[in-house]
Amino acid sequence: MKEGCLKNIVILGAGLEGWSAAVALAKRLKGLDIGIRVIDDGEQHASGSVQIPGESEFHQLLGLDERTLIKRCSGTFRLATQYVNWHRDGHDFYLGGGECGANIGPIHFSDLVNSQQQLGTDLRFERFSVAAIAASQGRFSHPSRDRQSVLSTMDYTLQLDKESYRCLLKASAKSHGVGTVVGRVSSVDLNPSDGGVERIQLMDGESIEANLFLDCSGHRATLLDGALGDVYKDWSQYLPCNRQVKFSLENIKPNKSLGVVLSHAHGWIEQTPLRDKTAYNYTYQSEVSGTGDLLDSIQTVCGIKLSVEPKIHDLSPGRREQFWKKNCVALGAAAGQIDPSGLAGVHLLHEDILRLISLLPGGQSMGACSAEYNRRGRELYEHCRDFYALYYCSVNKYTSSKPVCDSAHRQPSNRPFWRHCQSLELPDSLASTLDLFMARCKLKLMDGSPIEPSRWYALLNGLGFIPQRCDPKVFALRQEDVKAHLQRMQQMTRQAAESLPPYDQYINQFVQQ
Amino acid sequence: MNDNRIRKVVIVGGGTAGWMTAAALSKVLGEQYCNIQLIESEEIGSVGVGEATIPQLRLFNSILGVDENEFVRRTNGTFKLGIEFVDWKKKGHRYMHPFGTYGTNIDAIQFHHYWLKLFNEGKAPDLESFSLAAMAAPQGRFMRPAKISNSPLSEIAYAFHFDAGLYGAYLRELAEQRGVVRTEGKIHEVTLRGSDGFIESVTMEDGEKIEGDLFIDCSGFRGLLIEQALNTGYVDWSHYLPCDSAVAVASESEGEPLPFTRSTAQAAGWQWRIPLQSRTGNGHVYSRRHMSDDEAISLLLDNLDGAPLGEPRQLRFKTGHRRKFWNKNCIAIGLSSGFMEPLESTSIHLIQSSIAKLMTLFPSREFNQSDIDLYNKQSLADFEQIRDFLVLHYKATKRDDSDFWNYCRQMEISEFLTNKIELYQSTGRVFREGGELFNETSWLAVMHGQGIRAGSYHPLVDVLPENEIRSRLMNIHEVIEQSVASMPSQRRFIDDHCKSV
Repeated sequence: MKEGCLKNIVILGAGLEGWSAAVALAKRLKGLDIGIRVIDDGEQHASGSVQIPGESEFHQLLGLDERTLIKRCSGTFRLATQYVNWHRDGHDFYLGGGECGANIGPIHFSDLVNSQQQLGTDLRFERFSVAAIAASQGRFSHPSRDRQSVLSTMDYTLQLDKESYRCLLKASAKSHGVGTVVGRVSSVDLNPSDGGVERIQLMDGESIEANLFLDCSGHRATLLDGALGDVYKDWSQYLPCNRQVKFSLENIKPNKSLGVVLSHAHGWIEQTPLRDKTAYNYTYQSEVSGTGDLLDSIQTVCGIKLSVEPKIHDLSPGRREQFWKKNCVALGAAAGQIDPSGLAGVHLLHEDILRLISLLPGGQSMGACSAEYNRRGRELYEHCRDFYALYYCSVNKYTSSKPVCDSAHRQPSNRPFWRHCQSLELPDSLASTLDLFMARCKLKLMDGSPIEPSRWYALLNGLGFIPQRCDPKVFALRQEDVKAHLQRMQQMTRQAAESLPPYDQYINQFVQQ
Repeated sequence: MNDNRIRKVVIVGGGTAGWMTAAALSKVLGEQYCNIQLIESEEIGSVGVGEATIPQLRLFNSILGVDENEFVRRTNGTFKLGIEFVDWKKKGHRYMHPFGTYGTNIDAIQFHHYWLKLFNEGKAPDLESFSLAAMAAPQGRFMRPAKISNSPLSEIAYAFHFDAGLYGAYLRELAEQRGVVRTEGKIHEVTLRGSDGFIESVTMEDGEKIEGDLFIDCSGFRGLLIEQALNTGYVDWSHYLPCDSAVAVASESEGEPLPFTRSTAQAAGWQWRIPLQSRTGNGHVYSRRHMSDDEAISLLLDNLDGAPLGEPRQLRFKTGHRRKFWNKNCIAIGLSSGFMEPLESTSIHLIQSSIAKLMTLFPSREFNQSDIDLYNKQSLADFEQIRDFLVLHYKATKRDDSDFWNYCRQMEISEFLTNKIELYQSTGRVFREGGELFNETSWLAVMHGQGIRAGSYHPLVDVLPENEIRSRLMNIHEVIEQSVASMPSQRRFIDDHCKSV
């Protein structure tokens, strides 16, 4: 390697983000003479659970297999998520992992469903999802490898205890030679010639230098925001929740392969079953919740009494203007926050780390690499933002903004949270995605989107968005044939789901293998 | 539900664009869906000359259900593994833009980074040594991919050269079998609807009136519907691509047909050579600001491999695109939608991609504006991406032997292209943008071929010791050489499978 290139990487922050980046880089840079150190600034790390994709490129790189993760992190497999009382009381739907239904020749499944919806038939995607049906019945199995089998269409995520997962990554990083420095940051010195970060000074006087810094210090972004003065783009006009409380309970026995998200007066609560406990994310909008007693609210929603006053975490939906500025790259909450539950957080983190590796600078070329990194990052974050903003957009709100639409005018919910959501804005890009979908049942998504089109279709269907028209090619088919095809498909899906073993039976075997 | 479907599609113009559209619509929509009528006049004739294509055409053929051997036989076709660019970087230099890939990725890092490290130190041969297509093409060898695992022979990517007139006739046959009605004659008048300015009907010279819900304008440069009737407007790109004329002539074949298109840079443009089974298509694209028609013709005739067949035909064009590709109930496909010189054989591809977009956004009689906007937005992006790739060939040159090249070397280019070049120069990285037609191989081939050099490579390359990289590279090269040696000549391959009679 040439002079003046990467010799030292310093990661500020010893949370999940910091250690994820540390292991990945240590694995990938093995054999090069590049030192990697993590500064543990003593910050408390939010506990609770995380959801990560099943077989991911990231874990392959880390060499972490699923069985280890499940065993060491109190892990479970999630096949589907159920949304309860979403937008209005009594409106529930499931989002299953993987594909829903099958196409007929060149005609997309969603067009087939839509052609029947036009005739007044209520058709839910969840009835065509093996994962959703199996999860609702407490079943699980890995997807089949046989491409012909309907069981190959399922997909799942891992639900892990966040702190155990962090410790696993930390141990792995250390075994790959990553060093740790403990100490609080007292100041950050910039290089007078190029304006990048030169060193981090710690309270105890130690000074840490590097060529490349990764800012994993959480939303406050000590390096990007504090030292380099980058700005944070606020997305609270699109994504309403700004507070979160996490706790866990041991004495309940939920369906392990099913996550549940329940809407309440001020937001929603997500229940994530782990092996020996159940983790809760109570997420809300502080303005609509006012100054009422949080413990009471939680008791009302969950029917349980928490003994200690829980710690409240702030959420700041948005993204950094520049994820990579000079020689600093923001990762995790320092880069942006989109969805306080779900997959987006860890998923974006993994995508960011992989993108950073693919654009790792050689020679004196930080500028070209960072420009490309930021450009692709912006696209990715905005795409994910649109998907999560969609959850808060009701059909009622969307159609009322379109004078030509004549869809049934349902009463909006009288809950304060959903009333607040009525006042949210829609990002322009999401508005045009919805316009196209509503006009002709088509989606135009970002290329290489980490959120598969099948999830978009399923969410739109779950929320009750019914396009006004579908692919005109459907009308080259006889409607009786379409109807029969869909009925057969539902039956096949249900039978396939019912052929799966109960969750506990499967998992016991899996763990023992 | 109201049946608002399109009842009648009228295609105006029967060149390659018209018949490709007719064949595809009749196949995908089926005979029951709606009526399709195509109007063409034998008097007007079409621009079709020897055409070169890119591998995407195989997808179009498969949608039509075309047997590939039959198609090659019927169109006097040959196979194509890439394009050779002669005298583009500077006089006396040549390089190949091959289909397929270079080498194989190592540990998820693109192959060319490993190559760059050694090449920049003078320790590796040029890029072409690692492309099967680039090695096989000059030797005149061709075969379709073979099912051999881990062999470069399993990944041969190819396209075709063919006679566009014969291709049109072949597609016409397919379209007519599937119910497309052909009407011979010239259009006298186009009638617009008073209420919204949509096209209501066209009236033929003999007085016959043809109505339709959807009109496809395949009438060529003049844009009989999209421009003459709807005044859509045209965006001029001649500051990016200054050539505005071409002369084309066929010539007798000399020797075996080689499986690649050749593009030779001339003083004020470039010359193509497209080998067909029984003759060769040639043309000279030039800028009239920099060269007279007479000079252009004599330059072309002086640089043919064999004797010319017939008189050279003159073409005029203005590089650019229609302001809207889809305006009201009229969609322009082919030359009526815009024009870019065939430097990377994209003309047929643009037709194909317009048809694909039309199929995805096929309208009902309501003509939803958001569909139309999306179609126009995507079409513009397609045009711009191809334009930038073409501009790269002119911009990145060391030639300074004429005013034309001096202009090209110094002209302003788009931000997209500037970024692409700078990223490669400073980091060696090449990425394919979302939905971009040309992949990493193409960008790398032309950037490197035109003399742009990457100052560094991916730092993770250094994870492997240098001698290990060297032995892997040599191994890849040897496997490619051996594979190429096992391929038959294109002549033999054609004789065995798809010889024209």
